[in-house]
Amino acid sequence: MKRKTLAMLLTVAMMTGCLAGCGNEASTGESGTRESAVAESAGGEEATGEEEPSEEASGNGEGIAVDAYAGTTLTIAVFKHTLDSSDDFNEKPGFKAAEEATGVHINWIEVEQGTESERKTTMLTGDMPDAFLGLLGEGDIAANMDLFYDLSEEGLLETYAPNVLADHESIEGGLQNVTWPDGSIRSLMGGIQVSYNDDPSGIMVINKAWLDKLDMDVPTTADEFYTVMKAFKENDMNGNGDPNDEIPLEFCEGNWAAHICNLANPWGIAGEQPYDTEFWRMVKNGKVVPTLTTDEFRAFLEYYNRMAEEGLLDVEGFSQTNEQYYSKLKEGVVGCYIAWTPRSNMTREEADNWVAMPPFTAIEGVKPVKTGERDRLTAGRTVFVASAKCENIEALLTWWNYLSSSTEMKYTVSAGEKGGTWDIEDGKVVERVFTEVEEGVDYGYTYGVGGSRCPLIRKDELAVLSADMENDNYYRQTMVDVVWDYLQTEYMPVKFTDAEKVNERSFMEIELVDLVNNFISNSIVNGITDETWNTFQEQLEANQYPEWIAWWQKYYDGEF
Amino acid sequence: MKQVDRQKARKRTLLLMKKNWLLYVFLIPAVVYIAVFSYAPMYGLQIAFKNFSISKGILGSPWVGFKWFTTFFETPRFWRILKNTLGISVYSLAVGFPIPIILALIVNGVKNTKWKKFAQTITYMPHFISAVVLVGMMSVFFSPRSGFINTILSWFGASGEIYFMGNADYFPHMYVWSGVWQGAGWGSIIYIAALSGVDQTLHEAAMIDGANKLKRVLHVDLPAIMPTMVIMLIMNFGSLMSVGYEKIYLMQNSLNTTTSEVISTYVYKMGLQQQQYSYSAAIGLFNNVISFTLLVIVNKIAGKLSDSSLW
Amino acid sequence: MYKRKRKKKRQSWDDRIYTVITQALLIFFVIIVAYPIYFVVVASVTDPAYVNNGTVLLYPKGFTLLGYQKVFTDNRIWICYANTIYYTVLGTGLGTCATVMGGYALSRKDLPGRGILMKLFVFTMYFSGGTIPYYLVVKNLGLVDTRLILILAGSVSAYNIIVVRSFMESSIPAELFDAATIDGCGNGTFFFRIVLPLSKAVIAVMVMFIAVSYWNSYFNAMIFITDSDKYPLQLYLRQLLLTASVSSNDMAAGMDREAITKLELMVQVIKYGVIVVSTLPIICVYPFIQKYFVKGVMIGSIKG
Repeated sequence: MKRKTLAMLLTVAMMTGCLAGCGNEASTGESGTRESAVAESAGGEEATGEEEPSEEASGNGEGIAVDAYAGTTLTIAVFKHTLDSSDDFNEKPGFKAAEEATGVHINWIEVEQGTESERKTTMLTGDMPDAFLGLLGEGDIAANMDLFYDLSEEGLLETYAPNVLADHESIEGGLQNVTWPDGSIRSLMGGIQVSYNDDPSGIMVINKAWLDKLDMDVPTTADEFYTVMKAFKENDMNGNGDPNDEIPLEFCEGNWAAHICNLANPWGIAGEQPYDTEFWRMVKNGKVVPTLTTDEFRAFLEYYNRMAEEGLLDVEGFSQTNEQYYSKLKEGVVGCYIAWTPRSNMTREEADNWVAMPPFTAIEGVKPVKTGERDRLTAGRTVFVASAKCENIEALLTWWNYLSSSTEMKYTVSAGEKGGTWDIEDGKVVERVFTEVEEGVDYGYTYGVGGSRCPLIRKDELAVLSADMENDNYYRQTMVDVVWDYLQTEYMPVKFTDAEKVNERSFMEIELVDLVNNFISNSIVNGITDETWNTFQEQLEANQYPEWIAWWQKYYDGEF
Repeated sequence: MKQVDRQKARKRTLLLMKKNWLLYVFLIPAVVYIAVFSYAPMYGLQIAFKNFSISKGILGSPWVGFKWFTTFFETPRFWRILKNTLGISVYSLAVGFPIPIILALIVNGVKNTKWKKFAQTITYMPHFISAVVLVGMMSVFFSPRSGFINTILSWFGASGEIYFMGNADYFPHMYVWSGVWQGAGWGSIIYIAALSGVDQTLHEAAMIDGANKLKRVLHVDLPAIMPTMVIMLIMNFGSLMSVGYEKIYLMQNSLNTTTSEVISTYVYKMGLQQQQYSYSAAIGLFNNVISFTLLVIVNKIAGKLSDSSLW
Repeated sequence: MYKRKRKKKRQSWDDRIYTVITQALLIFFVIIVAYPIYFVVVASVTDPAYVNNGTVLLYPKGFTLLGYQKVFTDNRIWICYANTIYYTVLGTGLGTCATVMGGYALSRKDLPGRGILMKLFVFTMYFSGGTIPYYLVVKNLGLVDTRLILILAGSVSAYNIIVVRSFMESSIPAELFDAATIDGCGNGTFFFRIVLPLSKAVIAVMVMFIAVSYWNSYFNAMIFITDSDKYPLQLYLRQLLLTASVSSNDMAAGMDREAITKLELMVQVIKYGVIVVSTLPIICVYPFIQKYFVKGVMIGSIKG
């Protein structure tokens, strides 16, 4: 129903547009579209009076004079998510409202997931749109700085994007978050600023029903953990008559959350995110320290080698596909693994048997830590990027500013109209369980752009979760509560780095990744001896591990 | 005297060109195509010697000489990667070249038309299975926990828990034989087509001479497809350095990288991290210069040993 | 019936061994190949959890048509299907003509400049300027985001030309042309009257090679086509199938976790169904091609 109404509205809007004479033939060749876009934006510039900005400065989107930029057409390349089944971005309620309010018509270039890297290249090569939304990464900007508009220009953001500016300044680090070492600003942030649920990434969960069967508690030390895993292995825990099909501990290198390195948490080794390289260094008392050379690292490998040899750790985790991993979880043979929530891997009833488990203590005196970061900035720092060729930056910023004008607007852009998946109660955004969805349509992605391509949603604007275990997000929150205290407290700063410096690091990493991962997996599968350990230490030296640590130290110290 | 000869030769050439003008017309579409789609973009090769950035463009980027080549040669793993690449491709060639020929000869000898067509159609199907799906299936079939291949092996006294996908020593075999599985039927098509051109009277004559089936295959069929085989072999040699990245990349895991890292996967990973256009272009160029040289050499040898060569 | 039996009896001892061994080998190979193909079909109607934990071997378990349902209710897949058929048919026609004509010309030893041309063709198999200049050339031709580029690109390949050339070199002897010339037959007549009928097998092979490469290609569409209404099937499928495996990289880009899980589940369900639906038509091409691999009508009969 909703879609039909929207489609009708759009048709009417389009017809009006055509009658008004600004109908932009979307299917004319590339060059034609651009020319007309330029011509029209040039026409729009005249309409840019001095008075509108002051009106906008009130911080209220309603204040923008309707049709301030009427007739202006801008081209924006946007990332289109696979779950997005909309036909046209202009149908999305947020963008529709923005066009009505500002008069800026957007000619969307939709870049579908899976084609983005090639399409980016061709666009940067010669078909630059006026702006990019959710498409470029730090590397794209770093390598082609001159192609993007420098928004640090005096008064630009103040005048045309005051709401955006206010949002940026309200968060820790302010505009520094998006400033390049040369002082320029080539992008604006977008998405949700922080997310409590996201802070610890994957969380280890253990099968409580099995523990109860054995009359055991959630293990808190390495020995207890081993005993529990052993008991899981030796008994027919799932009661299917086969005492051998249980997999006490499962991981998967092909899964984003369940990499083996997360199992090193009890030994005090943790990354800010759940990836390989993140685990090779930690910040302790303002110093970047290596982890791969420590006794704790070796102890971690030895512990799991023993588990692997006794069949308690499923070594297939090194090679299995994500799909195999999920089907094992669904099969009901796993005793312990790393999850977002068990609900995403099995039925609701089965998931209720699981509990989150904080990292156990492996060595006395070594504090276990949890992978993740407190209040990690989840907002994208390169979400909205203007092209240096943009002829009407004023209109572009005004348009983006309108989308950032209120919490309500931001959520409309992100997840579709109010009353869908969200609502406002007592001035706060609340999540809403939304059921009137068409079969196979993801509402949020079809009527919005998702949580990472919308204007910056500040921490204080975050949707309130209803305290209901039926709500998956709340359920996740209760899991996060269990481990949050174990998160580290010192982190790498967030900032942009020159392409050359990043290259320097990439060249070191490509060798190190191979070396380190091969050593970890081999040690766990085949064992570790003084000889292999010492060889590994020598190889680390030879492959610039100390230089790599030094690179991060300089980064941390703000030397580049 | 010589001059006269040369003049005569030139005259003959001109005469031939005039006589065969239509053949040049035949070549126009193909030549125009490669001129436009292959040779016109060829100026892009220079980015291997430049520090290319999109914003400066191909012509505007600064020259860096052989910097990227040296970077590659100085990579700690360079020799290992090169060794893996050559090892895997020589293995692939040794197995993957003869098997389609044998398959074609066998299929060609089948009398029952229905069975023949069925066998042909079935064996060519795997060509259409994408690498993602193929590797996914391998991972399931060869699983140490639940894969049926381990179950079958356990009937014959094996441990039944062989970790095929996670063993660096097994990797080349897994890669090459899955390639044979996927490509043998497809590769045999060309030979089956060539075999259809075999003069049946030769077979009849051989039969009268009392030659048995095997002899007829070896002395009638095989020589008939020899030119095709030689050309295919030359081209296979030319692709020794290029092992496609997709399947290897998908089959790769931290346990087997010692044998599974090849040039193409290295380039791919480099590209994932940063847009190393120049670096990848340099490695690609290095690769292709070697391939092309190999091709030229093998082509020369082939020309000496048989009638067939590329030019 | 009787005749056949007699013939078999007459088969000598070593012939019988040869037949048994080769047939056994063929049966063995067909089984090895057929099983995974069969598995794909079974997997397409099976709950993905069973597919991936190795419990499905011979028959579907947890029967479901969800995969097909998802594929068939997706309107876009049909648009892409039609596009692919369009590109494949036109591209194959064009490509086959250019390849066969070019291959024939190059097979003629009396063509001055043939060596140089061959080298130029082979050179393109190894050296290319890369994506960016390729894109710029096509852009300058004004072919970006047109259907024409998807028909043109990939029609001619040096590899195919070489295959045709070597086929014709061995199957059409120079004497044949000489003889025909004496009869007053020119290059054109010779090509159309004699070469083409004699080259049915290689033309059939070319049709198939080129058609399959068009059917499977997505790269050109990925760089040149912005309008998703012009997408070929494979590009669309690639997007569907690869999104799940690419997702771990996207994670760094801040893609939300919930969406990824959703995607992964969707991909698991449709994966095998999608393969069946997308490859069935092109697989059916082969039996038609086989018709042209007929024996015995070759040089011998004409020479005589």
